[in-house]
Parts: sequence; structure tokens; C-alpha cells
Amino acid sequence: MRNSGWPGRAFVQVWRRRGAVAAVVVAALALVTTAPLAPSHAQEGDFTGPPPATAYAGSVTVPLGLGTYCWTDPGAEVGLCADTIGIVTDPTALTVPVGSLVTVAYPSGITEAFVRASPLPGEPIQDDGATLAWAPEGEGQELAVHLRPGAFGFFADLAAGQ
Amino acid sequence: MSIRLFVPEGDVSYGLILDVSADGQGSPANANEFLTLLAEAGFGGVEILEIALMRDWIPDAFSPRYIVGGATLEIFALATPAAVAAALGNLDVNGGDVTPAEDIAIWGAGSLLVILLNASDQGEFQAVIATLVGPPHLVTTEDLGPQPDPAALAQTVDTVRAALVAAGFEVMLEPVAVNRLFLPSNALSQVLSADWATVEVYALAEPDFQGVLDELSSVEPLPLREGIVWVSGSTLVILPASDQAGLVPAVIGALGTPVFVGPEASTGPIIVTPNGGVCVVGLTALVVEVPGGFASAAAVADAIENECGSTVERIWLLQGGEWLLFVPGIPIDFGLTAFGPISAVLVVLGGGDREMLIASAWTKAFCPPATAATRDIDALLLTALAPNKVVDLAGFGSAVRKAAASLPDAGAALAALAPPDGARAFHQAWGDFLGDAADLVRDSLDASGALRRSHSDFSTEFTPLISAAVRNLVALEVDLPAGISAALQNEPSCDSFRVAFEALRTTTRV
Repeated sequence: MRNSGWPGRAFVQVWRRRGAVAAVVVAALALVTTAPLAPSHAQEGDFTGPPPATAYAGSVTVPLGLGTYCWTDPGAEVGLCADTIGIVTDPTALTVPVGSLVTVAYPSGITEAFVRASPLPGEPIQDDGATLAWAPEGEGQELAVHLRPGAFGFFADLAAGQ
Repeated sequence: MSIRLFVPEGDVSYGLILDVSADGQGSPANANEFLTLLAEAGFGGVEILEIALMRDWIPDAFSPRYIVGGATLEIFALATPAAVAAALGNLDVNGGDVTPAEDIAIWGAGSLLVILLNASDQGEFQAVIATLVGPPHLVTTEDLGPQPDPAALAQTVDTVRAALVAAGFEVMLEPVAVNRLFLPSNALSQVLSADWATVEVYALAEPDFQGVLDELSSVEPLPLREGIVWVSGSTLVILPASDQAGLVPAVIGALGTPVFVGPEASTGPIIVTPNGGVCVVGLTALVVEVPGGFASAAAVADAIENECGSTVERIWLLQGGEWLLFVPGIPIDFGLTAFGPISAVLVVLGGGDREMLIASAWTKAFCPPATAATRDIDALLLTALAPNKVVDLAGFGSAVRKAAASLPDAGAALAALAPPDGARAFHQAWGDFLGDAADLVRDSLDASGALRRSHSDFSTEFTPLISAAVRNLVALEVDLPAGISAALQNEPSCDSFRVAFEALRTTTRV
């Protein structure tokens, strides 16, 4: 463990294995580390980590895959940062027509939300059966989001096939 | 797709595989499928408002009007997606000659054309439909009509501020927006603070100041009991509380006479001086002085009652050639709402039978013995005796026409009554008034029943008739029996006045 050094917060940086995702550092993350994988201290004690989130369009809902995060449980004095190998998703795709509104429901108060869409690479870099990890090329296309309490939405304003 | 969220507990990245299908693919084939999708999205419970309606820009199709989850929808099923495209091509935004209705959203989805009415109130519903069939092809906005003029607001604020600064007040613009229930919700506002007091300035889009004043005068509880209101162009200036009296002269200097004075508004002590030094029960003359410069009619009535020890039934003030009347306790604007620094008035003080008769006669002498006509004539009086009010000309014309029909009948009914000797003068005064009034209203209409006189011309000619009738009635020397006086005192209405007249007619006591 080592201190993240983020101003104003007492984060504790640890490595956490998430499923079978390999320990490849996401280069874009601010808190890059080459520390080796360690057993998940985060799952000890009362740390619950970020809540699960879902996305829905119409009547179809799919879970979101949990990726890189920094998190402090409400009321706790220390938090946890964890990196994942890539963009982690559920194997189930959310299929929508062009121009659909996709809404993400989230249990905690969202202050900012960013969505980037990238063409799906042919194969995931990791598949543990429960989740997939992807490493798309480039930065992708940023989509405008509309925040509202407990959720935000964005339009699938993309060409068919993305 | 990568999603990154910032929340109070930290920031989190999530991932999602989003499979965007081709446009139109999977669109519902008919209205039922569309409604089923809506129901699956949580918007079930369909009601049909109209069985079938057609829009001229959507040929060969009709739709029921559906109510779904509080939203109003039309779903037109056309033969092909090409027919939908052709229909959308009829809209002016697409080069056609049809201007779509206001405040709707239109989707083309496969061979369906979906229209959401009242789109501005249905943001969530619009988003759900977009989820199902993509973004709307067109959203039209509601024409909100005229909006208040910020420049007018700023101008009045500047005027008031300059006047208050010139009067020695330290004036600040308060960074708040306010509104009052009796004003339109879209009114613009600015609040000034001057020393310890505040001044509210509002700009209205289509000012209905008469409606505002009516509400200020008639709604219970009164919204501005201690307040004073001015009108300037399309703006309204309110001093809401009586402790702001010191500001009043400065605002009067800038904006003129207020249009409304709350019943408890006053700028200071009110000095009442009866002519000859003594209050006389009945008709008496008084001088009213307000050293602070301003007081409401109700406050003046209270001051007169305190000075004279009698109830005030009526206050009459001759101003600019017109008699203005204030009747305590009656929420009708007869023109007299406020007093300036010094005024000479005629007052009817309560306390005697004869005076009660006179008090009723001042406003009710015009009531004919035939009750069927009283309401018409009341309406005529209310419009004709309101020179300071904005008059509903349609209502005024209607009142004149009804009175023209009623007054001759009333006169005939009166003539049929044989008054006793003691009531002859009373009968004569009443009959003269009815006859003159009938002539005037008849002469005010042309052969087709259209008005030939403006409201102001009519008032100018009508007022002397009333004054003459009042003079004659005041001159009466009738000693009424106690029972008749009680009837008048309890309910000084047309009907009670008629009862009194009937009693007079049969009594022999003078």
C-alpha cells in the first residue's frame, strides 16, 4: 500500500484483482503504478467499493462492468483506488436503434459523467466468463450526457454497428 | 463504451457494450406495437380520447388520440416508410407548405408517424419515445406570447431610484427576484431597498392592471392591507408596508397618484375638521388634512368616525368635476380610494332614521319599485359611476341597453304607485331621476342598439342626473317609522329600499 497523494483525501492505493483480469496498468490513469498484484485488502473489513450500475434503453437493462476507480465508503477515513486492465463490460450488449436515449441508473449522487464510445475491437483482451475487458484503439468519441438525480442519459448518436 | 462517473465518494469507470442497430430497424409496425413498447417502458394505461382524427399533411391515414401516462399522443400508421417521409416533406421545415402546430414533437419510425402533443410538458415522455424509435424528427415550441419588457422594468427602477436618492435615501438594488400571487407568474421584478424600507418594481407582459386592482380590493384576506401601488407604463411599483410611509412623497413625485392604497396605509396622522366645528349626524361637510401627504379612504373614514363619534356611511369628494364615492365596508371601487394633503368632503354620518334613508338613497335611489329591473340598473350605475376605472365597453354597452329597456318599465311602475302626501317629494325625486335616466340611455343608443356615446360622455351627462336626484332626496323631510329604518339599516339594498317605499306609500305620518 502507499499513499495516493491526492490533495484533501486520504486514499490508500492498493492493487485489487478483479475477476480474472490481468494486471496490466491502464496507461491513461493518473495513478500509474508498477506495484505487483496483491491480495485484495479492499475486500476485507467493511469496504464495499463502488456500487453496481446499470444502463437501460426502453425495457432492456444491462449491468455495467466495473473498471478503474478510486473510492471511499461514506463515513470511512480511508479509501481505495484500483486499476483494471481495460474497459470492463458485461458480456451482454445493450442493443438500441440509432439515436436512442440510453440511461444509466446510479445509486449515488453523480456530479459529473463522461461517456466515450469506441468501435469494439474484434476480441476482448480478457474474458473470464462473467466479464470482458477491452482495449479499444484511440480515444473514441465523447458523447454528450444529461445529468439528472440518480441517473444520467446520453443519446446513442452513433452510426449503426458501434 | 467507457463511462466515467464522479460522485462524492470518488470516481468510477464502467464499461458497456452498446450495439447500435440500423436506423428504423426494429421500429414498431403499428400503433399497438408502439403502445406495447411504451407499456414495457413503464407508460401503460392507454385511454382513447378521440376515435379518429386526420391531419391534412398526413394523407390517407388517421389516428385515435391516445392518453398514455398523462401524455397525449397520435400514432398514424402509414403504408410504407416512404409515405412517412413524404408526409414529413409536407412540413415547411422540409420545404413543404404546412406549418406544424405549436408545442408538439414528431417522430417518423418505419411506417409510423408519432405526434406528441404538449411536448414542452412531456420531457421525460419525449426521452422515452426517443429511446424506442430514436430522436424526434421535429419539435416545435409553444408560443408563450408577449413577455415582460426588461427595459421598461429598468426604466421604472431608475426613475424610482433617482427620486428616492434625490429625497435623501440611500438606495440599493437587492439581488433577489420576487413575485406576488396577484401578479402573472412571468412578471419581472426588481427590489430596491431605501434605508430601512423596500420597494418592489414589476414589469408585466400584458398588464391587466384593472384585474390586479380588483383582486387587491376584493380578495380575502386583502393582499396589501398596508401597501400602496403605482402604475407606470407596463410596470407596477409596490410599497408593501406602512412603515415605508416616508418614501411615499418621493414616489408620488416620480410616478404620480397611486392607483391603490391599502385600507391600513397612511403616511401619518389624519386631521378631521368639521365645518362649524361640530359633526352633524346625516349629511355634513368636513375638511380632511393628511400632513404626510397621503391616506387611504378607509383610514380617513376611521379618522372621521373617531373625530365625530358616529359611523361613516358614505364619503363624497368632488374632484375634477366628478363626484367620487367611498362606501366603508363595501368592496366596490366607486372612484374614491385615497386622500391627498387636504380635501373638502361631504360625509353621511350614521345615527338617525332620516340619515339612514338618505344614506341608502345616495346609492339606491335609482332602484325602481319593479324588482325585475333593479339588477339592470345596478349594472348601469356600476359602469357609469366608475369614471376612474378601466371600463369594459362591452359590459357598459350591455348595461345601457338593458337599462334602456328597464327604465321605462320602472318609471311606469313608479307612476302607478300613489304616494301618500308625506312621500310625494320622495316619489317626485325618484320619478324625475328615472325619467331623465331613461331619456339619456335611450338617446345613447342608435336604432340598431349600438352605443352613440362614449363611456366618458355618458358619465359626464349621467352624473348631474344623479346629483339632482340626490339633492332632492336630501331635501326630504320624512320621519320614518322605526321598522322601516331598521329594514334600511340592516340591508340597504334595492329591495329593502323598495320595502321602505311601500311602507312610506301606506303611512300617513309625515
